[in-house]
Amino acid sequence: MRTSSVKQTIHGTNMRAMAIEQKPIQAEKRILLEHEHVPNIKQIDVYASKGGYEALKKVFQGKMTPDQVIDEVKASGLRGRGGAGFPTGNKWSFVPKSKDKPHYLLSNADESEPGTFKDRVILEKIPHMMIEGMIIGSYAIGAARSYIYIRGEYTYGAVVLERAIEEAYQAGFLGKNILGSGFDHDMVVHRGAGAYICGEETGLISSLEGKKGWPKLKPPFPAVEGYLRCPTVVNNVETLAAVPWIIRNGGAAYTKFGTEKSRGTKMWSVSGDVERPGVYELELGAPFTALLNDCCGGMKNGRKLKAMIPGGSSAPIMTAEESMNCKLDYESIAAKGSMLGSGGMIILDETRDLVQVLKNLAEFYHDESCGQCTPCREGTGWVEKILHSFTEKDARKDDLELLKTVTNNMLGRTICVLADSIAMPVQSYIQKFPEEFESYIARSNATGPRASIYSHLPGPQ
Amino acid sequence: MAKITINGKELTVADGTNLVDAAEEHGIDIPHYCYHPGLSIAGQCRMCYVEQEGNPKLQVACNMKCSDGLKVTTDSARVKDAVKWSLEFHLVNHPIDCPICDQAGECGLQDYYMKHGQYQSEMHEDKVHKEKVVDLGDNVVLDKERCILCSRCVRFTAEVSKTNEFGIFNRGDRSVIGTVDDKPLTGNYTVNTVDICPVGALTSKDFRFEQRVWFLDSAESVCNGCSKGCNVFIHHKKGRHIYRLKPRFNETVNSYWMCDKGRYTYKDSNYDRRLTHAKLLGVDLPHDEAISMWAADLNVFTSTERMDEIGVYLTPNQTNEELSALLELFVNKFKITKFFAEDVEGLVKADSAVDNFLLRSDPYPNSKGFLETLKKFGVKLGSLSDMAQSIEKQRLMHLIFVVPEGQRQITQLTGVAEAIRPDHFVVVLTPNRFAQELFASSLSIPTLSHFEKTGTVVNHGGLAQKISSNFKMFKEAFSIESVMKQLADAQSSGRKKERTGS
Repeated sequence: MRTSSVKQTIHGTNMRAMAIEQKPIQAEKRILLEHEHVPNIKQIDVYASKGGYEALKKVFQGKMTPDQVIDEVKASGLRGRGGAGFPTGNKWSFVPKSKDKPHYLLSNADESEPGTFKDRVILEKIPHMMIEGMIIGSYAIGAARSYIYIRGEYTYGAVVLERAIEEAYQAGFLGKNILGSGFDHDMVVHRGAGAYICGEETGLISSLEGKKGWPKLKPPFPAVEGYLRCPTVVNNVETLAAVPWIIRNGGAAYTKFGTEKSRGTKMWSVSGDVERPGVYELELGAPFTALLNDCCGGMKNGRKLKAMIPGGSSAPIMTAEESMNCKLDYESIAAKGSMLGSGGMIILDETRDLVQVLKNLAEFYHDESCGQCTPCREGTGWVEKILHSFTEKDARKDDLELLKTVTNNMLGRTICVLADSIAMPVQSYIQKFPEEFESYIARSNATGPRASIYSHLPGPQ
Repeated sequence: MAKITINGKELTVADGTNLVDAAEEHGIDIPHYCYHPGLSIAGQCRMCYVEQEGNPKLQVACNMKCSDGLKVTTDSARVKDAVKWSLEFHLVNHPIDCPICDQAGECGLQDYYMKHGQYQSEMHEDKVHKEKVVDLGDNVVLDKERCILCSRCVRFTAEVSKTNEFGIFNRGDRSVIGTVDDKPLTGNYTVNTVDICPVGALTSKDFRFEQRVWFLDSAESVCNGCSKGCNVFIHHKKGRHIYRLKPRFNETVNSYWMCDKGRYTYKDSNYDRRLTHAKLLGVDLPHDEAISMWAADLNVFTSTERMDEIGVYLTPNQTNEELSALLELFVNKFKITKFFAEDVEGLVKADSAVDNFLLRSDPYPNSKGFLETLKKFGVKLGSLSDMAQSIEKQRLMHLIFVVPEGQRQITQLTGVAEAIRPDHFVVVLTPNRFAQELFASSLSIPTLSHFEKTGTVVNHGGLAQKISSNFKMFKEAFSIESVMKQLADAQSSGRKKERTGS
C-alpha cells in the first residue's frame, strides 16, 4: 500500500517535470529547482554530476573559515524562507563563538502550515541540496551534529533523507574529518508525530528534546540556549537548500535576483482554484499575475479571482484587487497588509464562501493550539465556537464585534505566534470581506446579542 | 542593587530579582497564576503583563529580571485591559462553581476577578467539560474542569519533589492536568501541590468541605513533626479547632514547602484527642484543687528531704522556655535529681534527612534546645528502663510525667505505666487525653498543645526559631510556665499554712 502510493507520487511528479522540461515557463527563475526534473537527482552521483557538493568542496578545499561562510551568506541577503524572513547570515552570527557547549543546527522540515508544500519537493526530490546546505551551515556555526526534524506525515521524505544521508556518509561528506578539513559532522533524521506547533522554532526544539512540543519562553533565544540548552540554529529547508548555490556562485551573484530588500528566488506552493496548482520558483519581486497566469495557467474554469492568501493559511487574506497588482516579495506583500510567510499561496475563486473558509481555519488552529498560553488555548476554541454558531445557528452583528475583540486580545499576547495565526485571518477576513459576513447576518433573523450563558446570574455591581 | 522604575516610581531592588517579586516587595501587585518563586518560569498564564519602555509589545513580568534602568508600567489602561482579557480567557471554560468549590475565598480567579475583572462575560458558547473529582491517592483530589493549566503542580513534581507524577495531557482547550492512568500521588510532599494550586483544581482530602476559609484565623508556628522545624501557618477557627497547617516561607529551613506527615500533626491538638480538664482517677476536678493537691504531695517529699524519690519524665517537645520553667522549679528549688527521657542524644546523633528533602529521622522539634537547656541546669538523663526499674523497686514514689500530644510517647511509656503501683503518686502534665488514660490512677493536669505554645525551639541545624501562637483552645489548659508558677505559689502557701498551723 505504502510502496504503491510512493511509486505513484514519483511517477506523477516525474510526468509533470517532463512536461516542464519540454516547455519551460518563462516567468520562473529556477535556482533551487534547476535540476528538479533530472531523473534520480535524489541520488548522490546524479546530484554531484549537476554540480552537487561543489560548494562543500569549495568551503573545505578552499579553506574558507566559518566567518567567511557567514559573510558570504550575509552578502547574499538570504532571508529565512520559513515565514519570518529573518536574515540567515545574521542568525548564524548570533551563535556564540565559544565552544564550551556543543552547537546544533536543526533543519525545520515540519512543514505543516496549511497551503504550504514547497519543502516537500526539496526533501523528496533533491535532498542532497539541503544536506549540503546543512553541512555548510553546521560548519559556519561550529555544530558537530545536526538534526532534520521532519513532520510525521512525510513518510516518503524521511525515507529519502535517510538514504541520502547514508550516501553522504559513504561519500565522506558526513562523519569524521570531512574532505580532510578536520571538521566532524553527524546528521540525524528525527520524525515528528504530527503536530503543527512542532514547526515553531522552539516548539520543535522541545519536541526534539523529547518533551511535549511546547514553544519556549524567550529570552533566552535559541542561538544562546536552544536544543538541550545549547546554542542552536533552526533553519527552514528552503533556506538551507539555497546555501550551496550561494557558496558556489558567491553571495553577490545571489543578490542579482530579487529586489533591494528581498534577494534571491522564492519557491511558491500554489493551491486552490487554479488550472495548474504546484510548486514554482520565481524571483522575489515577480508580479503575482506572472505566478497566477504564466505558471499556474490562470484561474480554474475561467472563474474570477475572489481572494488570495499569500503565505500559508495564517497570513492575512488579500482581495483580488490587492492581489492583481501585487509584487511577490516580503515588502510589497507587507505593504498590502499581509505577509509572504512560507509562500504557501491559496487562491480562492468567486464561488468560495469565505466565512466557511475562515471556520475551517479556526477549526484547524483550535485543534493545533498547544494549550500552553491561556489566550491561545481558550481563544482559539472560543473563536471556532463563535464562527460555528455564526454559520450553523444564527448570525448576529455582535458576533463580528466579539470576534474582533477576542482576536485583538490574542494578538501578540502569547509565547509563540499561533494565536496570531488565527487572529490575523479572522481580522483580515472581516475587514476585507464584510459583505460575506453580512450575507449570513441578512439570512439569519436573529436580533440583538446572543443570550449569555451567565444570564441567570446577577451581573457585577 | 539595581535602580528600576515601576509606574514612574523609582525603586532600588537587588540586581536580578524577578520583576513580580520586586514589585511585590514595594507593594505593587502584578497579578500572576503560573509564576511561583519556588519554581521555574513558565510564562504561560499571561496575567503579569507590563508595558516596558522601548518595547512595543506587552511583556510578561515573570520573565523579566531587574537590572539598572528597567522601566515598566503596570497600571496603564492597555495593561489593565490585557489583564482583564487574560482573566476572561481563564474563565471562558472554567465552570465557575464557586458555591460548591472548596477553594472559594482563597481562589486566584475570584481575587483577580474582584480586582482586575468586574466585567460582564461575553462568552455565549458551550463550555468544554472535563473530568471532575479524580481521586489522586490519600491526600489530593483533582477537578480537571476547574484547572487553569498554570502547570505549577507539574513543575513542583518535576523540580521539587522530583516524583514527576503530574503532566499535561492532550492539547489546546482539551488540555488536562493529570497523572498517568490517574495513578495516585506518592511520596510525602503531595499536599504542596494543593497549596500552590491557585484555583480549586487540586484540593486536600483532609481539608475538603471541612470549613469555609473565610471563617479561618491564622497563627504562626513551627511544625511539630520532626527536627527540621518547617515554618507553618496554623489555620484555626476562633481558637476552638485547628483545620489545617500550611507551610510558611522560610528560605533557610523549608522554603515554600512542608511534608504531608508534618501537615497532619495538627490533628493531635483538636478536641477528640485533648485533655480538657484536670482529672484525678479519671474524674474531673477544678484546676486549682489539682494544683494544690500536687503541691501538698510534693511538700511531703521536700519537707522530709526525700527529693530522690521524685522522678520526672521529659520529652524534647517542650520549648526552651517551658523546660527552663520546669527545671528552674524542679532542679533549683525542689532539688530533684532524677530525670528520665528516651535516648535523645542518640536520636540527635542519628538524625538525617529521611527522603533527601525535608523530613528528618529525629521526631522531636526541639532536641538540640532540650539537650542544651538540660546541660545548663546540670541535669543528667536516665533511660526509660531505669525509670521502670526504679518505680518497680519503689525507689521512686512521686512521679511527674510531662507528656506531649501524639502517639509516640503513649507507646513508649506503656512499660513504665505497668510498673506503677497504687501507692505511687503520679502527676501527668499533658494536653493528651490518652496519656491520662494510660496513667489511669494519676492526677492529670491539662497543658497546651504544641500549636498553642509561645516560645523557642531549636531545629536540627541549631537554628532557634520563635513560635508565637495567639490562641488557646481550652479554658483550663495552661502553658507549662503558668502551671509551674501556680505550683510554686501553691507550694509556698501550703508551707506557710504548715508553719502557722492554721
